[in-house]
Amino acid sequence: MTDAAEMADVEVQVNGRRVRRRVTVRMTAADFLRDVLGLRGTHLGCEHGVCGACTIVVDGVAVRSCLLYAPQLDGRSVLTVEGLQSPTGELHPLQAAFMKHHGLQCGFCTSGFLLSAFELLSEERGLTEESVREGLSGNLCRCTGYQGIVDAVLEADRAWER
Amino acid sequence: MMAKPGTIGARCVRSEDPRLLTGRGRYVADVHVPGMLEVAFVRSTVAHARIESVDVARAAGLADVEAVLVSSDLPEIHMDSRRHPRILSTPQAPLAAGKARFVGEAVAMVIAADRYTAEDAAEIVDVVYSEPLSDLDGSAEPLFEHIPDNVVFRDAESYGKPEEAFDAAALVVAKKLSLARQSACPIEGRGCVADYDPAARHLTVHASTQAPHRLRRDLAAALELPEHQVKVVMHDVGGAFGQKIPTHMEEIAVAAASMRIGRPLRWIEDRQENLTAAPHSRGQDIEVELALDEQHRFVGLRARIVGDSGAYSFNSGSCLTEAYRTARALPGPYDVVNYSYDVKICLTNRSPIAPYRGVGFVAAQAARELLIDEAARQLGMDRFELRRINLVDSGKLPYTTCTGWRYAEGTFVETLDRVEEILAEGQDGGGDPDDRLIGVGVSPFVEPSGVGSEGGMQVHGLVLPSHDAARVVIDPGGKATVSFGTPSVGQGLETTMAQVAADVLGLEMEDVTVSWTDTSQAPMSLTGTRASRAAVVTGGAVARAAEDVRLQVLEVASAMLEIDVLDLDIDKGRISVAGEGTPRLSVSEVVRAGYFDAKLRQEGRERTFEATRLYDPPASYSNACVAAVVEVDAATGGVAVRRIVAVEDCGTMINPMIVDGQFIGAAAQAIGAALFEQVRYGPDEQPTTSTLMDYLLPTTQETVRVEMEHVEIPSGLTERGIKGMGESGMIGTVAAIACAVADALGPAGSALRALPFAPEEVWTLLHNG
Repeated sequence: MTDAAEMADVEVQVNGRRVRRRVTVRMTAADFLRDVLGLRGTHLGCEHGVCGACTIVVDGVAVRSCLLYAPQLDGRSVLTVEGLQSPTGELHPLQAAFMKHHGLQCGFCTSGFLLSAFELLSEERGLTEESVREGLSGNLCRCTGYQGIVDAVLEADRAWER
Repeated sequence: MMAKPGTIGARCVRSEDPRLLTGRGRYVADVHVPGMLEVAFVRSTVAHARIESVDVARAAGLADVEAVLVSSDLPEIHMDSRRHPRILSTPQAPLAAGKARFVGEAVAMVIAADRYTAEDAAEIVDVVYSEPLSDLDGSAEPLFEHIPDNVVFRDAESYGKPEEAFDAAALVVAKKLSLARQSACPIEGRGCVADYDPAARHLTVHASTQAPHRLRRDLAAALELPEHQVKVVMHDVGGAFGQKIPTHMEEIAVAAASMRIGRPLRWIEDRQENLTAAPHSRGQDIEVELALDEQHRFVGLRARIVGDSGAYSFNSGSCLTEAYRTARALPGPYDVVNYSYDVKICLTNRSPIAPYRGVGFVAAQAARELLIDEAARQLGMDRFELRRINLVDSGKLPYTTCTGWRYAEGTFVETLDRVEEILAEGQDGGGDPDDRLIGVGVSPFVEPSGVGSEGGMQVHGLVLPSHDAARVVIDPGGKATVSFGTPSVGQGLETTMAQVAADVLGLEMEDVTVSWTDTSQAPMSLTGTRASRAAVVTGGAVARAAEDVRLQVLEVASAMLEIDVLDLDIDKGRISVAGEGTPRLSVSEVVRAGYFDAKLRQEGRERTFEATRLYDPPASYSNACVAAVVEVDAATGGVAVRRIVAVEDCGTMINPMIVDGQFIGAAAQAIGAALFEQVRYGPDEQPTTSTLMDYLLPTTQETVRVEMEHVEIPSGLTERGIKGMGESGMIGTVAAIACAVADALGPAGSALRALPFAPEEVWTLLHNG
């Protein structure tokens, strides 16, 4: 608790824009994105790294933003759900596929799934249902039963030119 | 029959999705009000003890801590919304007063500038508890002085002549089943933002709730404010599944604290709070017996049920929802006239019980179907056949069960037959590898749907008013806006209600918008989004309001065209005269003329192109049959679900994609409920499942592709023939999986008695008999 007031500078690229803020060293990356930068599309479901709702992509790797501290983002490049759409407002192929295949219901876990899938599809092509299920096994959804999510990611695998 | 795109029956994509997919949803944790402070609760670490003292001095002295409140700092609050005249009420203060009754109960609240500080301060609030008041030797002090035996509810009923039926039976089978406590565990926990304006005496509350108007009613009553001075704002809800039906004591505490200190306050619970302090569900011990005659007909059924209430009989969710509903639901879709039950609900030093999807019905279904399988095993009879001869077949309709559920329609046998066919079609011919035991379970069921007042009466046997209102308005641009008081908690009401309105108004789907407002603007929903009811009840209200507005449009068009209303029709936003090919007017032209042309206005029949209508539907029941195929690993006791086959009948489907989604999602929850989800308590009633590493939810690895078909027979009872089905995937699938596991274990399966059938339960049975 003696460290509660200690501050650090964070300079980070978020969705293509460079930002610089001074934050308490114990602030999580999730709270930094949500409360400091106002990017509230990143959601907190468990705050202990299990549910995956807060997943963001840092330097190409999907990570749990509830388990990272904001200063750990310093010098890195972050992608959140707000950065998936094209600058002209077109949905990312993953987002479009989630919509088409009813891959979301309440929408709370959705950002995390999109970013986990983003990492998965960035690394691989021609995925099977099994490999999609394996790749998304670290994200929890309580609404959909995953079927629509899996179908969406399989479709995005084909539709996303990358 | 092909439905018109964008209207009832269309498999169209959801209107809310672009918002939710791009991070523009607005959940309660996203609400920021200027000047807002954060709340963290100090929660009891003991299950049952007197609170000797609460020392807040150190915590209150931390920088950025605004206040630390204990029970005596808040007004004495009474909240009592008993739903059954005979359930004993257990007073509950928003912050525990005098004694703590479960681990997780709120004892004090810290209000600070940010949540980090609030949690720091909460950790150093010093609560001194007495010695535990519960002892294992049974000398425990009752939770409440006025309830010495801890029994808050008891009910025994007998229908027909069950004793005679059992005496004369050719076979009597029995089954004992315990259902663990489970958590609805929405990925978004509970939370609220309360903002009291002392000058206006006005309270605004943003809450993650399924029942905004009921929350308003409860808050107003508890805080002694007139109802119109309390406004509950509706926005996105990140999953609910029943847990967010009740008014939570924390919501009252946060609102009361905002009134006391005159600042907006936000409370967003963490997962540990959600798993330990938010209401749980299930938690029942059931003993059922079935009597069969020589022809294998079910001639009698009896049940003894002990329900767990948790530490309070609960103030708006009520423990009745579990065990009592189980008792009323046990006969289900079968023709049984002789039935008796004895149900008792007891207080325990655990978090209170509240609804979770399929509340009460899941337990009844699982117990009954396992019992029927037991009868089939003892008779050496095919399990489909035994069910087929006992289901209420179409020849018996309309049929009223002994507990008063009236089935005017239903496809109980048809759906069972079709499931059997699909199951056979997909059978793989390969032999079972060693150590892998395959089992099949089948579970036909009926679900009270779209519960209005009559449905509530039939389900519970008591008067429980329940209805919705909706408003539809067309603006001069010819576009419609729909509002109602049932929030969407994932089931896509923004889409389906627009489909209903578009269908009735003759507008394109994209010309109808659902507007989320608040309890001061949205028409009343008496009981909120629950009980598979929004599609039916809100949908019916939307359809009726849209009909009124359509008539207003046609009346003005009739005056403009000097043609009888009955000869006019609206399609795709254009108004045509019967028999003519080319439309004469657009809806926009008519509404504009109605507003701007004084000559068209008619004194005493002003047309606002707006209508609010209420719908309180007759009782209706949807039905389905689910089969599950599982594989048990004898070496580990682990169970893998291989197939889920479902054939369901929910009448008219507004949007088949959403119907599928509701069923498939619920079936996944059922996999968890049947095989691993379990809220556990250790010695001294300490919760041991306080993280998602301990309370396991189904992932992509445990779920399977559901093989799903529909029998679409529009209901003759409800508006547009719609029946509800939001819970059906849960009700039917838990039982199907349970029966499949028992089947895989062969004769040993009869001894399975504790749901979920987790690996330790299965392994122990296989290896120790």
